Amino acid sequence: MRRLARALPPALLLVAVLAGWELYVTGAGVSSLVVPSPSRIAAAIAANHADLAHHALVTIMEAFLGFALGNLVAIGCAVAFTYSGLLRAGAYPLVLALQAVPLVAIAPILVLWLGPGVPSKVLLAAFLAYTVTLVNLVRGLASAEAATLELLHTLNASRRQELVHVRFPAALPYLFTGLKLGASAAIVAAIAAEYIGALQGLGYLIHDTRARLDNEYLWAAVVVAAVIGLASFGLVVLAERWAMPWRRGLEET
Amino acid sequence: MSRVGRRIRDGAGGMRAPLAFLAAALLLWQVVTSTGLVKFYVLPAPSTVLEAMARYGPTIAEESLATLTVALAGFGLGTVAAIAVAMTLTYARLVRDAVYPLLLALRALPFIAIIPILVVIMGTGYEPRITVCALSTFLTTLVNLMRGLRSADAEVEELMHTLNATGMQRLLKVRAYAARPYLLAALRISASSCVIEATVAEWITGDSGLGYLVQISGYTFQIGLMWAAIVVASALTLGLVGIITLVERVAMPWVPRGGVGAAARQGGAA
Repeated sequence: MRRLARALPPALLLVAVLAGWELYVTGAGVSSLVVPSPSRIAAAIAANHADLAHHALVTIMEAFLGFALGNLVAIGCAVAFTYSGLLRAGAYPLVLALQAVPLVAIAPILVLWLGPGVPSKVLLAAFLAYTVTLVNLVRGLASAEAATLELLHTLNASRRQELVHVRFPAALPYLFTGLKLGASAAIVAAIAAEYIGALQGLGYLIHDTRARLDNEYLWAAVVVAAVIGLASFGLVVLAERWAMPWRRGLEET
Repeated sequence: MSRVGRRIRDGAGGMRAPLAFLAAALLLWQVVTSTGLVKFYVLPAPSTVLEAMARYGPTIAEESLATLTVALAGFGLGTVAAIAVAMTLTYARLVRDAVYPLLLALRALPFIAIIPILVVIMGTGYEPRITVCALSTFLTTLVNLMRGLRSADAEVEELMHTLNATGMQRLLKVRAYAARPYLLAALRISASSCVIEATVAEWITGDSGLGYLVQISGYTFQIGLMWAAIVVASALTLGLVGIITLVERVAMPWVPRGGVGAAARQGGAA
C-alpha cells in the first residue's frame, strides 16, 4: 500500500508529460520529422517489433558477454592486487587512471582491429565493466575488518578461507556498486561501438534510421535502448537485494 | 612548504611506481612495433603517434578546443541547473515525490543513444553536443547533491532548530556544507563523462572536435593521427579530473581519498 502511494506521484507526472507531449505535437502541428508524438512512436515500435527485437538482442548479447568477461577478469585482478604488493603499487594506479580515460573513445581502434562484427563491441563493454568493478572490488576487499582478519590469522586460516569467509562478504556492497555502473556502461559501450561500425544492433539501427530520416523509427529505437538501459540497471539492483537481504531498505536508490 | 603545496606533492609521490610501470610498457610497445611483427595499422609505434602529434599540432589543438568548449559548457550548465533544482527539491516535498523518482530512472539511461535525436532537433552544431553533456552532468550531480544534502548530521540540524535558525540558514550553513564532498565527487565523474559524450557526439555530428578527428583520420587511414587524437582526448579527461581531485584535496583534506567517491560512483556512468 505504501509502495503504491510512493509510486503514484511519479506515475501521474509521467502520464501528464506524455499527454502534454502528445497534445502539443498534434495541436501545434509539429512535424514527425522533428519530434514525433508518443502515439506515433508507439505505432512505430508495433510496426517494427520483429526488427527491433532482432537488433536489441544483438546489443543485449554484446553488452552481456562484455559485462561477464570484464567482471570475471576484474574479480581475478582484484584478488591479485589484494595479495600482491608489487602489482598493487605498480599496476593499480594505472587502472585508476584508466578509469578516468574516455575508454569509449578507443572504440574506433577496436573496430579497426576486430572489424564491424560482435567481438569489438564485446571487448569495449568488457573494458568498461572491468575498470569500474575492479576499482570498487579492490576497495571492498580492503574494507574487511582488521580485527576479524587478525582473528583468522590467529586461527591459522588459509588465504582462501580468509578470502571466501571474510573479504568477499565485506566486499559485496562494493562489488554491486561496480556491477550497477558496469551494467549501464556495457550497454553504452555496445551502442557506441555500433555507431562506429556495425551491421546490426541498436546503435547501428539508430545510426541507420537517422541517415534514412525515418524519425519515428529512430525514436522507437532510442526508446528500446532506454528501456534496455533501465532494465539492465534494475536487474543488478534485484540481484543486489537477493544477494544481500540484510541491506534491504538501507538504500533507497 | 605551504600546506597546499605539501598536499599536492603527497599526491605526486605515490605516482612514482606507476610512472615506472608506464615507461616500461611504452618501451616494450616501441620495441615490439619496431621489429615489424605488428602492422602499423594494428598498433602504431609510440614514436609514430608522437610524430603525428607534432605534424598535426595546430589541427589537434583546434579540435581539442572544440571538444573542450562543448564539455565545459555542458559541464557548467548541468552543474548550475543541478544545484538550483536540488535546493528546490529539498524544500518542495510534493514536487520531490513526483519528480525525483523519474530523475533517478533517467540517470540509468544510455545518454549516447539520444544524441542522434538531439542532432535531428538541433542540427550538427555545438547545441546537441552541449545538451547531452549538460543532461548527464545534471542528473549525476543532482542525485549526488540530494544524497549529500540529506547526509547532514541530524544533531546539528536539531541544534539549528533549537537556535531558531531559518530554513535558508539551515540550508546554507549545515546542509550545503555536508553536501560539498558529494558535489565534488559528482563533478569528478561528470568531467570525465562530459569528454566521452562530447567525443561520441562528434562522431555523429561530424562537424568539429577530437571525436570528428578520430573518425576522419580512421576513414583516411592516418592511423598515427587517429591514435594521437585519442591520446589527447584521454589527456584532456585526465587533466579535468585531476583539477577537480586537486580542488577536492585542498578544500577538504579530511575526506578520505575515494571515500565519498565510493558512494558517489553510484551516480552513474557515461
